[in-house]
Amino acid sequence: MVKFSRINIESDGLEKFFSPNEVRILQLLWEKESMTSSDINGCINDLSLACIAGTLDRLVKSGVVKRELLESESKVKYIYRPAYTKEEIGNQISERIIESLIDTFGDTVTETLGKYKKE
Amino acid sequence: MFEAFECYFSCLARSETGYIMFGMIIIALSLGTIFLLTKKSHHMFLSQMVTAFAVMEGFRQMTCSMAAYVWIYLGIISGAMVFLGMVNVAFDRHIRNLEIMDAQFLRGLSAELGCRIYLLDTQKIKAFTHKRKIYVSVGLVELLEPEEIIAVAAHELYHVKHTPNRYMANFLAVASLWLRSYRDEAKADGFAAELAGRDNLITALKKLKVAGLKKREKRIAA
Repeated sequence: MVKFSRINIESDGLEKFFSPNEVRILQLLWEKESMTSSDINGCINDLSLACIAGTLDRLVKSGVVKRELLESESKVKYIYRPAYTKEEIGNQISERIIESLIDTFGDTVTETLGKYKKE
Repeated sequence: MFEAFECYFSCLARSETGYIMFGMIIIALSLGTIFLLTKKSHHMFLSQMVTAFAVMEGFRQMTCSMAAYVWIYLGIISGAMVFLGMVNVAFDRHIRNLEIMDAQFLRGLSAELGCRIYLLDTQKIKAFTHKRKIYVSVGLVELLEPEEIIAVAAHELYHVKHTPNRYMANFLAVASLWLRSYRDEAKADGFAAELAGRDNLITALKKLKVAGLKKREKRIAA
C-alpha cells in the first residue's frame, strides 16, 4: 500500500500518494481494467519501456497492482490489473491517515471529522 | 616482522610521494566500487591501472625490507576478495528475492543449449549469468521474438562456459595486474551470432539498446 513517507499533501490529486508515473499507469489500468506492458507503453508514449517496467514492478511490490503470468508455447507475458478500485484505495488511505491522527491527537480528531459528516 | 613494518611505515612517512600513493589507492578503490555498481569494465580497467601505478610507486619508494610491502599487498588483495565475496552473497540474496520461475517454454531451450535457463519475476529487461545458470526476465521475453531470445541466451551461454571460477576471476581482477576486460563481450557476441544468426542477435541488441551498440553491431557484421 501507499507508504506514509511518500505522502506529500502539497501535490495535486493522486500525486499526493503516488509518483506522477505511477498515477498515469494506475489511471490507465482503472480505465481499461487489464493491460500488458506493451499496451501501457502504447498509451504512454513519452516514457521509455524501461521506465514503465520499473514503475510496474514498484506498483506490484506495493500491492496496488496485481499481475498474472500468461504462458504460451514460445512466450510469456504479464497481464496487469488494478488490485483495488479508486474508491477502495481512497478508503484505505483515509483509514490509515485518520487512525494515525487519532493515535496522535485523540478525540480532537473525531470532533473535527464530525464537521465533515454528511447531513 | 614488526621491525619490517616499522621500517616500511617510516619509509612511507619520510617519502615525499607517500600521499600521492595513498591518493591513488583511494581513487582505485572508488573506481572499483563504481565498477561494481555500473558493471562497466572500463572502470575496472582504470582501477587496475591506478593500482598498478600505486604498486610501482610503492616499489620505487621502498628503501628497506620488501617483506612488509609484500605482506601489506597480499593483505589488500585478501581484504578486497572478502569484500567481493560479500558482494557475491548480497547478489545471491537479491536473485532469490526476484522469485525465479522455472518456465515451461524455456525448458526446450535449456535442453538445447545444455544449460538451465530461469525466468526472473520482473518486468525490467534483464539477462545475465550467475553460478553457471542463465537468467532472463519476463520483461526481456516479452520484448524479444523467440529467435532473439535464443541469441541472448547463446550470448549468456558463452559467459557460462568461458568465465573462470568466480573466486578465481575475483582474485585475478583484484590482483590488479590482470589488465583484461572483465567480460569478453565480443567473443560472446561471435558465439551467439554463430548459434542463433547474426540478424537475430543484432535486432535483439537493438531492442535492448545495449551500451556501445554501434561498435558491437559492426563487430558482429564483420
